[in-house]
Amino acid sequence: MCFILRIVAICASVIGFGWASTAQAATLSTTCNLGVDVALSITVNSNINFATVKAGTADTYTISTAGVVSHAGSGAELYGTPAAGNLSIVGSTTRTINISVGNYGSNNGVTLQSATCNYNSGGSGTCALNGVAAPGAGKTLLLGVQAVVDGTQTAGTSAAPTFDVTVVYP
Amino acid sequence: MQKNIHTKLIISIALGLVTGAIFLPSAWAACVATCAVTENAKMDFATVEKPSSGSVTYTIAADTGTTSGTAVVLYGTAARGAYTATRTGATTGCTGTTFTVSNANTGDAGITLGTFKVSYNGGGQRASPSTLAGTYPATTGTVFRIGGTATYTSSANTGAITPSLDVTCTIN
Repeated sequence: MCFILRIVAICASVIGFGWASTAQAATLSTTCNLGVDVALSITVNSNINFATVKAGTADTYTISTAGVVSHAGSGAELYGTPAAGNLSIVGSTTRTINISVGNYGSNNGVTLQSATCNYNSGGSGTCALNGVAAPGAGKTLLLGVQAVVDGTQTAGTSAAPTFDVTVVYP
Repeated sequence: MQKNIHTKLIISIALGLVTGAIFLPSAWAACVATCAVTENAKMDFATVEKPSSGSVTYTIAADTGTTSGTAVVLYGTAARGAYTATRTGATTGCTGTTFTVSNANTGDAGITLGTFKVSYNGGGQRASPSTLAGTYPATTGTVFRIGGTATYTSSANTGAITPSLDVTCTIN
């Protein structure tokens, strides 16, 4: 009888231990997203050059991305060596880019418009290029443009109108 | 001899009852609720410019999702992580819930993740581990969001990575 009571007493304490409170945790092992890349940069290797054209005559001149000048009216290309614009773009080796132009300016009666682009030898076209090849260590962008000449220019003067080329990661 | 046996018996009963008395109250108030975590959206630090020297940081707030820091974002959209904690069981005997973000590993010695924050059920962000006394996820699920800080040094490799981390819900 005494033995039985002792067992009961010990069991009571064991049960007490067995029911102690514990924290209930759940862990989700997951991931997040993160990236590091190179900022885009543009280097101008050479500006667009229409060379020398006829003074005092209104006309619209076009230079192609191949550097060939033509005109629509009574003007004329006189001398000098024309050149397309030549830019180098550096950036990500994996991320595609968008190229655009804008902010056409005027100078000395010459106004620019309708630029054309040839990026990475992909062919000439409008400068609204979206999702084109990642530039990596450097890819070439050739530029052409139209120059609207108002005919007020005197012989021996020059004009240096500008426009912007913008490159972004989409 | 018989007196000695009776003394031992009395002591044994007394010890047993006292020990039981100490632990039985917690037995009756044991916390049996459990918590499960599911992922709604991963935390996203977008893609930042690799620093040319030194280090830069980029922080996402857990409560608002706003970003801050010295890193320059090149592309992508940063976002806090979103998770759902779902409770099972009654909360009798429980004291609260702890949310923890831990064990982050980027796999890139030039990039570290830390200073994690937790925003529970639309509340303000709190540092991880965040213990909310008397608060428990709903049995239908309660959303909590996480944020943190990424630190990039000039030795970081370019490219996209998916660092690992643990998100834990503990009902105490």
